[in-house]
Amino acid sequence: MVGLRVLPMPDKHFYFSIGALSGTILSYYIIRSVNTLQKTALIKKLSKWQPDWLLYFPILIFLVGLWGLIPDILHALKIFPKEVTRSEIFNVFFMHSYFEKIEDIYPTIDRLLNWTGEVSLFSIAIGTMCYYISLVKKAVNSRK
Amino acid sequence: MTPDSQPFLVGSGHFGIGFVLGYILMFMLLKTKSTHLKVQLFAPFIPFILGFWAAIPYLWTDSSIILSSWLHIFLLYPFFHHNELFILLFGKLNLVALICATLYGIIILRYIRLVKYCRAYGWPEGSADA
Repeated sequence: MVGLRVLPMPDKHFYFSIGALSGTILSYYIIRSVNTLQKTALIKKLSKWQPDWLLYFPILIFLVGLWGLIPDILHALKIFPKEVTRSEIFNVFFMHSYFEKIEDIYPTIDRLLNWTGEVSLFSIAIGTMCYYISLVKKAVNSRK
Repeated sequence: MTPDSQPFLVGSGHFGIGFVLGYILMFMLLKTKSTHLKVQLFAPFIPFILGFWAAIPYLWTDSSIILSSWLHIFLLYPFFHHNELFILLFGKLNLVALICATLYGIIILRYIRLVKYCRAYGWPEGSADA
């Protein structure tokens, strides 16, 4: 019987990339809706504490990305065995169990998903830097 | 044999080495050209460029054969590929991810500080080249 270790499995950065992508989309909508959100009590408190809170949106991307890694973290800390972290309930972590099963069967899809994850993370990283560059340029031009 | 115990560096390891070297270069550039806004804005791309450049040969080389010496133009690819010290440091994907993520976090914090500074003070006219 072929052990799980021999079968292809998605690398951890694939699950993190799904979360990071979700976090990026969420950050995008928060930035777009900031004027509306400023009227809420929570954001008013946040703005009082940290006026430039919106600049720290990568923290949100990172935290949502970590959500996708929770099954692997639980397995790495020996809290749950692999059989448990592959159960249906763990699909709440960005379809973790579903992808684990799919990629056991199709090595090509495993490679494709890993590659997609790498490209996504690279794009998010570069895109975030470009966004900060646009903010700097806007700030410099507004003070001229 | 698990990916972590192979006697050569995989693509992520080479990327990690390029990223770290690029970060050191970026750091030196930011210190020596601290008044140039364009350097402040675009120097952080150097780690990504060097990391990508260092990993290119992994796309087509077969790790089991002796690598051609011309591949040294890709940030000394053959030198790092079978080097035990660098396999120890950059051979594990988790460690490479941790190193790169930490350096990236420092880059982002730098950008945040720059945005806050420019919002408060702008950029000195004499050295502005944005």
